[in-house]
Amino acid sequence: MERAVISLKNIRKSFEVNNKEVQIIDGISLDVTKNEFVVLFGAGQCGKTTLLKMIAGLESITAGVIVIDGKPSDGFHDKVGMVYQTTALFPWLTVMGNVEFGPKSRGISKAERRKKAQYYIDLVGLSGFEKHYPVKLSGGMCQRVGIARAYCDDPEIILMDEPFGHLDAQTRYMMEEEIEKIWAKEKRTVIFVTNNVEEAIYLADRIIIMTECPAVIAREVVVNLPRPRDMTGDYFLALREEISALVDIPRENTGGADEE
Amino acid sequence: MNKKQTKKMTALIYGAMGIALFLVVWQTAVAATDFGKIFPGPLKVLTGFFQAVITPIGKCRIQGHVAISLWRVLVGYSLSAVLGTMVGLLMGASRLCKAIINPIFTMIKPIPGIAWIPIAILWFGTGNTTIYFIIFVGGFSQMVMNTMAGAENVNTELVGVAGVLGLKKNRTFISIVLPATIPYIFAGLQISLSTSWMAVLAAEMITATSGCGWLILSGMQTGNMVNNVIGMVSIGVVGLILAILMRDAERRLCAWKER
Repeated sequence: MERAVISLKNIRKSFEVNNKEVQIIDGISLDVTKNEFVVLFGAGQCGKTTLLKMIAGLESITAGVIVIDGKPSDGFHDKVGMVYQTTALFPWLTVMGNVEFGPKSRGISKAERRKKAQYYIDLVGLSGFEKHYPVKLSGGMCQRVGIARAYCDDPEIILMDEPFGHLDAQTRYMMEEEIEKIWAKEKRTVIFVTNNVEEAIYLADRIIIMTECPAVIAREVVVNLPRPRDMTGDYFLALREEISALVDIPRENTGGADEE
Repeated sequence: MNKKQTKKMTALIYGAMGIALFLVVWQTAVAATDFGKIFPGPLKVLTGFFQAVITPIGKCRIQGHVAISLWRVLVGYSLSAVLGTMVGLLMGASRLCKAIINPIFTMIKPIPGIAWIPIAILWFGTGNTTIYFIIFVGGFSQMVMNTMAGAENVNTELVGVAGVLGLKKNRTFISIVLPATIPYIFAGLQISLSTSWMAVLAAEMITATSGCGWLILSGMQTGNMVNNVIGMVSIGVVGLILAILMRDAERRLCAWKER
């Protein structure tokens, strides 16, 4: 098997709420290989996003180790980029300003970063909108900027935290197709969080199904369908049934920790 | 002509009609009633104004008085803008600074700028320094409050986003906090400009021998009501121009806020 680009080793996370320790993630181990598209899927509200934030360096790790490129990682890592649910664009910067933010922060010359940013702006289909401010863009367009911004920083691993969660259904389908095309053209290792079954099956090489709080891995499903996938195909629908059924199982039966 | 321009034109026409109507009513009231005995009509004010452009009232002509007031505002206002923004950013960015400064500040803040006039005169005499000081005191607290609110409301998520994108921690202030705060600073600049303009008049009425404030007061002292009114009108016009300039600058610098 190929060496993992990123390995999570027995990751735990707990917060203190009202002087009580609340366990959010209860020991997750996961290896992701280069250019793999992994989807973290689960119906629950907690755990998935926190896990991504820990990988990105936005949350502290309570216990366990995150290994990126063979070395333990703590805090921000220049090989890791992120696409946010809220898009989290810098409102005072234009589309160009947002996309070139990464290379600019890392001191790359203006000519070089402009060229690069333009490439990714074109790639996500926003040519002609370079000088627009985010406030003038639709939700789907903002998320395209977010994707271009993450790519332009040259990460090996891109974390996507429910990037299409706030979009209407129509735009969401469109963006799912779009992200698949972008990824096909510019392969990166992607860890994608969603609570939408179709989205998970449409995009994933491998789906990691997580339990509700405290989150642990319930099951892994490898999706061996040719891309781009047909959401109405028999295998697709069967897989959807199977995964939906899994998520409905009460937590006790999925190997999660006992409640207090 | 597109829809927006048509709308603008209509508003302009109505506005001009309103002013014209006001002038007609004023003139009629002055000519037809006893109101003329206690108040000059618009024609009289206009001739008075042109006269003041040519012959000095007191130390200088009307444009001189306006220029003097403007200069005083400029000095006091710039000082309050720069220092107020700095203190506000400091308080917004550092909890320690806020904890130390805020209590004293909250006590001093409700005291209007003009309440400082007597003390300022005792400290600095009746010269320009006193006037600069009064303008400064009024504008300063506005600037501090607004800037602080802005710096405190910076979206912390964006600080994290910038970190993921490789922004060094010591650049967070320049790249994230400052741009996010600019709209708040501008709101402060707008408010403090109008309070500064008010403060200069009050200060000039008490402690100056020139400027628009003095002009109004001298109109009262000499019983020359025309001088009084032209002083008031020039204040109105200058205030309007300042507000327009300010709004224009805001539109340029805060374009990202406009939908």
